[in-house]
Amino acid sequence: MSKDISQEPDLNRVAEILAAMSDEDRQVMESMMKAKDLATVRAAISQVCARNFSHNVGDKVKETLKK
Amino acid sequence: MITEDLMREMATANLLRIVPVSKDPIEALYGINWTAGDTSMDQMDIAKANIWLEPIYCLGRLALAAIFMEKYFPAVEISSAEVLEDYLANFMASIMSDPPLPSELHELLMYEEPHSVLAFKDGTQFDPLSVGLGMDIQHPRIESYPIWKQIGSSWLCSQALLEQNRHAKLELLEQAEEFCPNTTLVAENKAGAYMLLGDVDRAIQELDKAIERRPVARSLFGSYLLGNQNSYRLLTDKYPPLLVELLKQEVKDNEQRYIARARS
Repeated sequence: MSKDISQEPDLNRVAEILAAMSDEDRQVMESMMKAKDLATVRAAISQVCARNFSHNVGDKVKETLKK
Repeated sequence: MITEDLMREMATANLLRIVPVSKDPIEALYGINWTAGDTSMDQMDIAKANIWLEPIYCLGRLALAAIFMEKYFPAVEISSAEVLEDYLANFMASIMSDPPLPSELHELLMYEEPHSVLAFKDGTQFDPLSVGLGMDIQHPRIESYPIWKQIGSSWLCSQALLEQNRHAKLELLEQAEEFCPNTTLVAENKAGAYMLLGDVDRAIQELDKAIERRPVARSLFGSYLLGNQNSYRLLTDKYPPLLVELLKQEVKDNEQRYIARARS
């Protein structure tokens, strides 16, 4: 069973995680923090995770195998 | 209500005009004219093609191979196999320039996208990409599932990607999990869905589940963004620094896109 998703999003937890990582990767996160919109940050990160089938053969492999 | 028969019925539409060219099942599969989609297609466009099981990406191709086998070679036992370690990703990693070109990094990421192939009882695989390449691709690590179950579950994942409502998105992924439990495709997508709902702990759990079986760059990077320093170490050990930079830039671009959309 999944957790009750009707609860309020845990924005504090997101902020905490982003703050914890900012020392090494402040450059990436700076623009996110400037936006002051954690919903946007969440959406951007979610894009990294949610994936799909999109396999085909690219140029480098094709060219290498032709040789 | 999703069923295995519903998925079969949908796949049958793509079987029209295809007849086996050989009595040998592998040769017959090789004899199908497998078409390929554009490699630069965006995730949403692929999801739309997957909804109709169009045989231009691996979900549709898997469905076509499955219905073809069931119709013409019913005695041959088949299953589907989720690729956990991709042959072409390994090959790509071995031929990249030093330092790698951006196009090579994108190509590597493509080979690391979720992938499924047809599997036979003896463990051999049929990957339709073998046909275009003229070589028999056998992926080093796979996990097998009942074929229509996995097709149905993946189909629900594509529906979830197209769903705008965050709660409905997660509900579709819960259905996908129930229909075919324990695929990494569902875990990776559930991580994204939980993130959208702000349930970071659940997102981390799902991503951990996915990484345990399929430790690819995107999942490792997502896990790192959620605070897992160990994932960052694994990421930088396995991949060139430029790939990590590319993923960071991608997140930054996504964020800019969301801001622009919110302002429009």
